[in-house]
Amino acid sequence: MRFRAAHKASSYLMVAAALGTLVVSGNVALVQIFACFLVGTLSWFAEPDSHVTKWLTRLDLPLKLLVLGFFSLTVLSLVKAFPEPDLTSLLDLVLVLLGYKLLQRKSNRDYLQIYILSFLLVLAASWLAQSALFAMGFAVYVVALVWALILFHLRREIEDNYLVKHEASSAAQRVTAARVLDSRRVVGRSFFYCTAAAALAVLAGSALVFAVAPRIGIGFLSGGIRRHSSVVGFSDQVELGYHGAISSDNQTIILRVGMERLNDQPSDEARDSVIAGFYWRGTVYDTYENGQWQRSRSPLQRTLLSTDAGDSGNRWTWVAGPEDPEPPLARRSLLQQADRQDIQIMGVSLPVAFALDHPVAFEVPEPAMGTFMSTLIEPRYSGESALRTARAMPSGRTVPMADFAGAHYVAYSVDSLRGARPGQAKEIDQLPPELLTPYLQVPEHLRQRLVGLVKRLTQNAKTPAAKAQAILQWLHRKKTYSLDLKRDPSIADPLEDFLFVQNSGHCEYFATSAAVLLRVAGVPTRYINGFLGGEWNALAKHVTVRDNRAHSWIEVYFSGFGWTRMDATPSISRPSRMSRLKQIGDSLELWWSRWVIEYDAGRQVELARGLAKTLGLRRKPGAPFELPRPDKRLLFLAVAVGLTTYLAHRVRKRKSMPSGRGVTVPLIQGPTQRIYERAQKAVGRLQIRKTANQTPREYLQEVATLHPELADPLSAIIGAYEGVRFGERPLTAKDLGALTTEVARLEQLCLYSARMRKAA
Amino acid sequence: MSLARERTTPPRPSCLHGTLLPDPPAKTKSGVARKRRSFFQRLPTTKEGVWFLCATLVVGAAAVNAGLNLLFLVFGMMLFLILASGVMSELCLRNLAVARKLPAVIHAGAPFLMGISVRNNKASTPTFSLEVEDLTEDRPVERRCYFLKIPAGREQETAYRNVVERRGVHRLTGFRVSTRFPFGLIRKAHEVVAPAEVLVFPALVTVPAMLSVAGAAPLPDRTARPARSGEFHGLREYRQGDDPRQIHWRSSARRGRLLLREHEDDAGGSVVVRLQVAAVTAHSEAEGFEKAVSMTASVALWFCKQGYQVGLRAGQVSLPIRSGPAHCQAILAALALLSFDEAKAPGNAMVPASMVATVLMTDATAKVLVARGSRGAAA
Repeated sequence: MRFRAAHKASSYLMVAAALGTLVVSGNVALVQIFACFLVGTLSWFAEPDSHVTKWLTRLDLPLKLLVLGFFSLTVLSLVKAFPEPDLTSLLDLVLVLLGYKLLQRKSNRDYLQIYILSFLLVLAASWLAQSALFAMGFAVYVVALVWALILFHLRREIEDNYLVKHEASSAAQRVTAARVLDSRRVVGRSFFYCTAAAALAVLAGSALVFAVAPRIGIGFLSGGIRRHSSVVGFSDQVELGYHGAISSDNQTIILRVGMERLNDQPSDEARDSVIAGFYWRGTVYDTYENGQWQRSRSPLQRTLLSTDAGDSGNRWTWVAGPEDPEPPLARRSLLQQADRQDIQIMGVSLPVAFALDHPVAFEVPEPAMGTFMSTLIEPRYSGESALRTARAMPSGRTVPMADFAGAHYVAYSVDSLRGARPGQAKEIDQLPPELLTPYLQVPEHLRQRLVGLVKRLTQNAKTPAAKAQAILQWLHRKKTYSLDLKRDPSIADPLEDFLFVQNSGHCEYFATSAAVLLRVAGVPTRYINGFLGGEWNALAKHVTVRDNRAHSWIEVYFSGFGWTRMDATPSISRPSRMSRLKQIGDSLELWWSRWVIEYDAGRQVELARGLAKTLGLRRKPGAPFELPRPDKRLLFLAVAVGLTTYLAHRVRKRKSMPSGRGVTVPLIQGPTQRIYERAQKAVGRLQIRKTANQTPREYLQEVATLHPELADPLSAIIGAYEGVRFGERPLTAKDLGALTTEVARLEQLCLYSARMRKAA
Repeated sequence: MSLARERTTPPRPSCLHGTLLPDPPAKTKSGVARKRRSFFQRLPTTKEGVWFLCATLVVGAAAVNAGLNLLFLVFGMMLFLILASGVMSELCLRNLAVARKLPAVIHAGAPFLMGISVRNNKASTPTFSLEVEDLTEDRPVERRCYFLKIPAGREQETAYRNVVERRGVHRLTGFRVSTRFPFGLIRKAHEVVAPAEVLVFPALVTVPAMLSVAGAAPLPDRTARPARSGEFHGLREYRQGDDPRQIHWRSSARRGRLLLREHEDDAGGSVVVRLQVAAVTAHSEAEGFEKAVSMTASVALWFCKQGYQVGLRAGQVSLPIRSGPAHCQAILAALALLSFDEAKAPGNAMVPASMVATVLMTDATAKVLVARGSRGAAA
């Protein structure tokens, strides 16, 4: 490869990899990606004296003005947003500058600036990216960076040093470096292999630094708060007719849940049906007003939590409500029949402790040694629990964090339907009326509008359960599920619009309709937001819940049975299994999230302990010192790797050693050598190979004996080769042309002979 | 195409009288005469290196502060790029054999090309972006030689242009072999001890006009003629630059080294070039003496080129009347090493010659006087 082309290609690969790392962070719009691709392609052809360069030269001033204008706008926006500037505009500026520099790529200085801008992109990506794809982009970036930096250095050295031509009789003169830049001999395939190996060593080293660098999280500049960009907008407040929590195409992972009972399912279909019935309970609302669900936050509704430390040192939080007839701690017996969910929060920006319906307890693992982050479960309202994360500062105080990604806890739930039995909750008349009032609240104008409808729907239903059944049946019969929302602007309340005008809506409409109609019918009801179902990852043995599974349903209070989940939305079929590829990707993402994004001092300790155990270095406190007994498999592996490396080295060394003894004539390089090698390759098709101890003449003799038709062209080639190599007789251009013809003729003859031989 | 820095005039293979001490190829592999330098001396960062180091520290501080794990990855990459830079540059500098290719003749004040050859003795790794500097008394000369790529097992040669201002012994202490490969972040250098002494002949000045006036016209049939036809004078060791036709093969075969026949060119005229130092004041002594030595050398060389047998008389230093390029260089060597005290001291009686050219040293200049048929004139 020509040096100039190699340098250009590696520089572009580096820019592309840097952009790739940013793209996987999800912070680059599709338009920006397209624009980058367009500019990159255009700039590739912007070589000196090319039409593109001439065209760009004409556009130089407008381009400069454009960049200047963009720069000014960015500065203005940063100043305006001070003290909390939006750094994405800065990122846009870097992209614009990078595009401009690629188009104006002329000198080494431009290349240097391109490298710096690319590095800034990688820095931004390392700040924003959460996906495991970052690793791939980063690996490519490191390899391309090593290539580009080396070639850039060589190019600069060539242009700075190679220009001086010395003569004793005159002062130094400048000569052109173009010949060297266009040379194919400066860097070859082996150069790229070796430097790529060096780059991989750098990559391994950076992984090592990543693993061992202390995670102290001082936070002296920005409070040490880790920013996660890819959190979803799971809503803390529901507004009908607005986008809300529904986003069918958002694939962002919200939760990853491991459940032992899913591993024991007899078939995939059975597991799918179980997963499809998982209601991941999140936020609870009791007040509906003007198309919005909110919380009344009455002290009576506060979730009752009691905390104790378990035997293993984990923190247990027991959940109860005012409707609960038993003290929370008495529920320990329920754990045997509860669903145990090992939950990892991935991308939620709200403090919600998700769990299957009904959570009775949360177990938060003891923070690992060296971990500064802790997870807490705190009470909210209407049986809802909040998740809090806090960071312990060096000063000793605890600072709440605004981010919950990476939080890990275990929830225990008793399915309200599966485990429903009389007496598990108080009778309705045992509850204080002021407790139930918020769950019966309906705006007055809506009540008047709905009374007639409710009476008609529940005329034959005597019990609350029958009323609920009747209303849900009516909704299923009359309304259809759709994400394509239609709205009559003349009707103020979107619920009224849905019930009396529109025929379709999504889960928020169905749940709200059911809740409000039941309230009008005198049944206490509350509105729940969460997620429905999930996708089973057979590789990692966990359920992945994505943002597109956001769902709403209701809970109805039945006397003696307590709050019972009811889903008013017609059933939606969603796949509960991932494709194999998706499973691999998901498992990788989980690993990445646990061991890279959320890697902390606790994980470092865990890693060190694991390593010590593997190497047999762990010993009990007080135990006498013994020589380590490393794992036999590891030892075997190390020996095997060492042996293989040694043998490979020996083989390589033997290959590189000159064959024969005595004086070694240095090999010549150049067209004659290449032609000679070409001739040997052509003859090799006939299974005749030149041995190391054979002289060219002996080789010729052997070939001529076996294939007399090859004697003439091979003789000419070998004669010329010997002349150049041993006689230092240079070839003229005419000789070289004739020799090329001879070698082509030889190749034809060899090909023909080989075919004939095969046919025979 | 050579990948070393180009030059148009290739350096001569070696020097006739230039090297007084043997100058074997100096190797950079550990254990072979490499000077120890401190860590910071060996790893001076370049301007880019300083910036890169600062950026690494900033990224590291940001990673520790914010607890951003991916930033730790970038920080690790930057750290290991610096480390890789050190390792790769060390690999580049290992197993190199550096040698000087001295020019045949060096005259004070005249530019010459000093050849530097580097052989890469590594089995498979090429060396990139190598700079070699000659060290004079442990300080590098102003010029350096650059090698872009030296493939494994190959040798490349280049030269740098240099001027030595003073005649006499010029001491070269070694080489500084350095590289900024691979990223230009650090300049790694090894100093290689390779002492050599180069004899710098006196500067040459223009002489023909003076000598023509004095009647010393060039001998028409003697110009640059080798002294092959004269009486056999003796054998001496062959030196590079000698005429190979004069090698006495039988004696060479017997002794196991090349020996050269020397003849006395009795067919031509003879001249004694005499340097006469007058009483001078101290402040102009050095200047005037140097000029006189230069003039003496120039006159002797001029006569040599005309085909004369030339003898030298300079105080205590005297050389017999002989001819040939080797003798001519012997005169130049004697003048190169001539000190003022030696020149001032009274010498022995002069051998007879057909002509005497006297260079008279005055306060700041030198005069040439030529006398024909002079015999036995005292210096």
